[in-house]
Amino acid sequence: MNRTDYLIIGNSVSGVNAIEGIREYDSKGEILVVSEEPFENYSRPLISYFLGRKISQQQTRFRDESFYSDMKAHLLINNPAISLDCSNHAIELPAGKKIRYQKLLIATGAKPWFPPIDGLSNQLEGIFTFYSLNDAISLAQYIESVNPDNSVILGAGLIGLKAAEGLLMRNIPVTIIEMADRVLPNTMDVKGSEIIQSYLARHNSEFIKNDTIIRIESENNKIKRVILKSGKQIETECLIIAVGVRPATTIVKNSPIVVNRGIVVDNNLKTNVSDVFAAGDVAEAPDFFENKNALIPIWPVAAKTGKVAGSNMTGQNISYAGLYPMNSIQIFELPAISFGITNPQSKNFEILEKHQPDSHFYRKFVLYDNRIVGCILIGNINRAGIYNLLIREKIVVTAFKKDLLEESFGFLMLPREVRKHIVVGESMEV
Amino acid sequence: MVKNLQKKINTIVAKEEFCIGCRLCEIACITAHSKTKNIIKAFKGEYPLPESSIVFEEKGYVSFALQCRHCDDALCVECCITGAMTKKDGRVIYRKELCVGCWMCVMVCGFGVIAPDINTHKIKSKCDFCLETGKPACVEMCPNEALVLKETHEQD
Repeated sequence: MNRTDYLIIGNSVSGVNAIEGIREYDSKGEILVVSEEPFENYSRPLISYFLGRKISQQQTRFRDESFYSDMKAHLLINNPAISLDCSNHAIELPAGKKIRYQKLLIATGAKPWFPPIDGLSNQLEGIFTFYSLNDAISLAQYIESVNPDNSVILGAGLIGLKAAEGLLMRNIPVTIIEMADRVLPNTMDVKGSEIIQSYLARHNSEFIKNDTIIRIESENNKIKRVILKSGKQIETECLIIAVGVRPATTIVKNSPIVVNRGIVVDNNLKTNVSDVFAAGDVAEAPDFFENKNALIPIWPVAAKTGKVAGSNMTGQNISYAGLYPMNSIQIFELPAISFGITNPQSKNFEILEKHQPDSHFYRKFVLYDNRIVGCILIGNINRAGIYNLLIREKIVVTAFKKDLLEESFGFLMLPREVRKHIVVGESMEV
Repeated sequence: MVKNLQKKINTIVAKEEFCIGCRLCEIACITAHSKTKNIIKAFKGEYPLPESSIVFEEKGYVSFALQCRHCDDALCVECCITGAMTKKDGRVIYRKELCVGCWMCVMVCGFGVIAPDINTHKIKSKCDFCLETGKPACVEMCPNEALVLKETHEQD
């Protein structure tokens, strides 16, 4: 095929939702998805479950095997898009193959970021990122053949902690090194970080904070030890670098498409170039709280922007209202959910919190102008989505502020008119 | 242009002014999802009984029962990392065997009707709109029309 109505670069959550978004409005137009990865379909967040042997490789799928044929979408795996020619509406694939499109979606996601470390080289055995299924497969194979006594993870964000859980499930002790003074510095506040860290510490893991790796020493092309900024040394045969991701914008490098940190898109997920859309981790889309664009590399944003972009590629005019960070992480038996601004630095925010140290129960709300703009739930996450609704709908919480912290919080605590509006369902066609 | 894929079915809505808090909806839900589908046999002889998919709220004289709205653009489906939550014939269907307990659905469901079971890493119970009979048992059982079906325009 040399031309297609819809071309999607990237086959992860954004690309898949774009296919569905297109098919909601156009059942006939030709869809082609190109992916640099060798798998038909897999879910990135499931790689930690795969590493921990909770699921098989086959179970990392998030759409059924019949998905692409049901959707009448062609999929080319192992085909990285090499260049983009916006003026001719074409992209180039390996071996000089050119594809022309009517509408293009760039959903290339992100790439793991590497901090500058002496001695770091992709030639060395025993050093991994933890972003793709390939990463998880290589790591699992390495562990099975080398049987390392321990492992080191650089970065205590969501990816680092889920990698840690996967390794701990294989009974490999982990040392987690974090540059910040706490774990999950971007999603949690200080107390939330403490709770999660103390919980993890009971499971064969050790934390080194306010520190980072400055040098890697190797022997026979294999990692031997890491040297930290503090001077500390850790012998290890297994290092995972999980310090974050950066938007994979290489494809638009020599194009007129505007890139800030990610590809800049408007509320319709359109770039500045006609017929070119971007969605997911690569896109810098409108923010929910502020009148600006932001990178929010999380599944819900990737799914929503992918879907809206797909619909708009068919000619719809659906507006993406912007989202805010939201994360759900369960480490062993401790669930934690956070939304929005969890750790405000200014005094203009009102804070409500409740902590029961014995039960790991922690609940915190960040209010601005009597509306919830951020929230943390640890230990008990029941009905967390109601808080998400209150944030998204910008509901004034003055009348039931105190009830927010109750474990039994529900619609009954809401004023009758607000409750009826929601419960009867008039406002809920999201 | 019209939406092709989603046939929206009727939605169950709660009318708190008619709810007397009898909780028969929960009994009906459990019975409808039991092995025998018989209220006496199920409650006297089945173990474990399925959990009800209804979230019941009550305070003083005010009460109501909530269950999955089978939203048109269901956020739980969009945010499911395994495909366990999926849309089929206008219903949001939960496929337990695919669920890993990541709680993304719990995080985004604005009705708070998806209850997590932290220990089994599965959802406790998910309304399937009574797939087998096509008539939600809770609505059928409610003596006061406090649970009713809201007609929605079917799209094709």
